[in-house]
Amino acid sequence: MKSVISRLLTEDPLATFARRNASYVERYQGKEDPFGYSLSTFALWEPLFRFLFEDYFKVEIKGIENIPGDGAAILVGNHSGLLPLDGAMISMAMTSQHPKPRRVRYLATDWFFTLPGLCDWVRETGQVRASRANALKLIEMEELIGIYPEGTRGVGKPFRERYRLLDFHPGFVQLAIETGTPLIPVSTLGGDEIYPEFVNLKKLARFIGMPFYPLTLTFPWLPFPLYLIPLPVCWKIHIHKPIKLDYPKEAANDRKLVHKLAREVQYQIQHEVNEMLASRQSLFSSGEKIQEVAPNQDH
Amino acid sequence: MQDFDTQEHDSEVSEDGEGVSERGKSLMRYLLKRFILILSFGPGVLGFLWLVGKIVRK
Repeated sequence: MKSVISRLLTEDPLATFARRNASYVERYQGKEDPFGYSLSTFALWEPLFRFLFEDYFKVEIKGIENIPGDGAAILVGNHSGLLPLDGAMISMAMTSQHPKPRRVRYLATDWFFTLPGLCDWVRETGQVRASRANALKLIEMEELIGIYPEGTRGVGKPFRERYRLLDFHPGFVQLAIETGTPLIPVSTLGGDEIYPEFVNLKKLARFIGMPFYPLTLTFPWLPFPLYLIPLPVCWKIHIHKPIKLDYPKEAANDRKLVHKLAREVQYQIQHEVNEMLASRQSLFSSGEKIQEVAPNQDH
Repeated sequence: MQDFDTQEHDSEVSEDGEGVSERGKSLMRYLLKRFILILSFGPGVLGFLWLVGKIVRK
């Protein structure tokens, strides 16, 4: 244990990360990023998120092979959990389990970029301010984009509304049609339960300029960083097959069509979330429901 | 003429007074916002009460 700690403190995090994930480092080392991605910052924080991914949330991933190793694609998922840990878990899956590891560029809300200190961290770990221009630029760069069309409404959902997806903002469909980029729906189970939110104090949130102000088991009661500790819920993430929207570019302006397609993706994700919920045996164990076996009649 | 000057002077004074009170209000709002943010993301409500308890007992 002592040697592990001393190694963590003395070794260069990038060198440690490169030993474990050489192809990822090779892919991004020495490349300038217009949005401020920093491989060394990512390597510094990766062990914490890998611990959450492998040991704490014990994330089960299904369908990782559906994400292409190269070229632009748009991941679209259900958002939950107050902090965007769902995005971090998918990033970890892409880093550690994909045959051709690559980064995910999440389009993050403006609010993150107004917070001094945090805004640099958000940018350096790969997130990009959500805007049409930035999304187009990322597609031009052939990046893997992550979008949560529920936005901050999704993460600020109270516990009683868990796993009920809110209406998807159709911007991601417009983007996919306009650029001919495939959409990859992602269903996540577990995120809604890591920080059970009892009430969202909307008026107070508006007063202090936050997207929401949750009352949870730990926030705002416990001191920093105790309120950040999530419940050790087991997660399941299902990555669906890519959807290629074969429509002419002009169809991106057809509001009715765009809304209809956004709803279809939303229902597909909701359906899978419902199935995963039904098959889940327990909140804190990753086991599926065990089929009852008839007792052996031979004895 | 004298009356007119006096009235004008009075209205300037009241405008200044309103300005000061407005500034005072916005300062109070700013301080309250900061207090809530620091309390929520720093010691938390329980941590804050513990600190207050410590100070009061001393």
